[in-house]
Amino acid sequence: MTMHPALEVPEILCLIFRSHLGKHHLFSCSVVCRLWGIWASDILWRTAPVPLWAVFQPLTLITETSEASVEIANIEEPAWRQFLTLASKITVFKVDRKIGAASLERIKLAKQTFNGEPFRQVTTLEMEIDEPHGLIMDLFTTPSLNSVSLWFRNIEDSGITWVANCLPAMAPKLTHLFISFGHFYGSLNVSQYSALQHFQLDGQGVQARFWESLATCPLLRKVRLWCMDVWGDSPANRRADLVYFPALCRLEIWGHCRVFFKIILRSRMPMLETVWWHDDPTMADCFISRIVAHLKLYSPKIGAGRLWDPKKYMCYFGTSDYEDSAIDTDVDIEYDSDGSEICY
Amino acid sequence: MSAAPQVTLESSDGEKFKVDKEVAERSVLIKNMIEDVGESDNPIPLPNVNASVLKKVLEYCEHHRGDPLPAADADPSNDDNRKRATEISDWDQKFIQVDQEMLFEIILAANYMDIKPLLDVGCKTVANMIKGKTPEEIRKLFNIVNDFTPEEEAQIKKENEWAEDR
Repeated sequence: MTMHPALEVPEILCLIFRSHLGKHHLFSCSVVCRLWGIWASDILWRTAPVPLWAVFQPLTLITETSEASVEIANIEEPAWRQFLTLASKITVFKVDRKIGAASLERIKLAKQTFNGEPFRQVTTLEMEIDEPHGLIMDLFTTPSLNSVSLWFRNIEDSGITWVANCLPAMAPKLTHLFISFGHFYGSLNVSQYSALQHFQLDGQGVQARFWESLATCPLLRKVRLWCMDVWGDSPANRRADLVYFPALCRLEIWGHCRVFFKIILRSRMPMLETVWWHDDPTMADCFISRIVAHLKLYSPKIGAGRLWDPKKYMCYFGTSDYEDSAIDTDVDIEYDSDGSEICY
Repeated sequence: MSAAPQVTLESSDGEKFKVDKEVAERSVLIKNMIEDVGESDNPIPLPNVNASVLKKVLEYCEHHRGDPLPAADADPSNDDNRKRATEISDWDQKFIQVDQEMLFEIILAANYMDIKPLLDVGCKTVANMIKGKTPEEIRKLFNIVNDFTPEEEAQIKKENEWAEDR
């Protein structure tokens, strides 16, 4: 018996390989025969999250001392061509290792030497930034990006500020942004993100002015702020103006009640449907009553009820059931539908 | 009350099938042919589909006659669209429980007649057959000859080793 002709039709092969086959299944398919190798490899590189070392493999030696970093060893043109071919297919890219300083310079040079952007198809970028100034962003950010997740490690505050300021220009179609850092005492500005719909921040120390900058994103629909225990409020912005969020329908905050209180009372959110606040079971009644009165007045979509369960360290104001946000699917939060209902 | 309009389809081996136009039009190919040629009593020839396969395909179309048609501009590479299109219902699962030869013939026919939901069901079934198998087991299952040279095989393994399950 011979192979059925259906398995030689590229369109059919592509549909099979795109039918939710995991990356290891696609790997197996890619080494079955030449024809399958062409299409399974292509789809593997175009759909699976590709780690940094995979695309740099034609060029690099992983340093013997640490598998956490890569250095470019091969500077011959054929290897660069292979690198560019692979890089140009990637749509989901995970920059999960540190790149040596000399290698960064080489990649910059490659961007200038070869026509086209090496990572021009990348739409989803997950990246650990482990260098002081955040300049590595420039190498991997392209106009095609619509989702970016950034974990900042040993970076200076000015580096975070630089990245946040430049990203809207480098990736104007960005709809999802996740930023994670430890402590930050600079001025985080996330304005001018004209397409941004989902934003998540995990870190402490941002100043109140950050919330104002977020209000300049007109399409923003979902916001999740994590670990907001410290609100670095400088005297200059203690009396900030009210801010208006025309499209925001979901807000989640994990942090001190004073941060939550400030954010709610300073904002007009007419489309808001759901508010979650986590942590701090001892929110004072006067805070709660002011928040409720504010939401009733300025966020009519929330309706006339609220659920509150102090035992679970969370507070929920809203009309819709909790469903996990597309920004961060790792976070597991319970929705207590049996919580006691208190009328206004 | 007038009867539903019907069309006649002719398989590659000359067998004729009279079916409701609504059923036949699950196939984008046939729908376009009817629109181009207009109503006619002449049978519509399907030279790439034999009678046993066409009968099976029409059984699928009959069952799904009332389903909404997939959007013409749906992006096939979009994961959500693809997921929706490849979730196999119980009826479809039973329908597609056929021998391997018939399965691939149905896939070819669905591709030729442009019946996307049926093509997705077929391809998803093949994908399920692939899952969990080694390259050698896949070759054996589908009678595929390994035509890689040792150098080519080593190269593609090296290039894709990041995706290997280890």
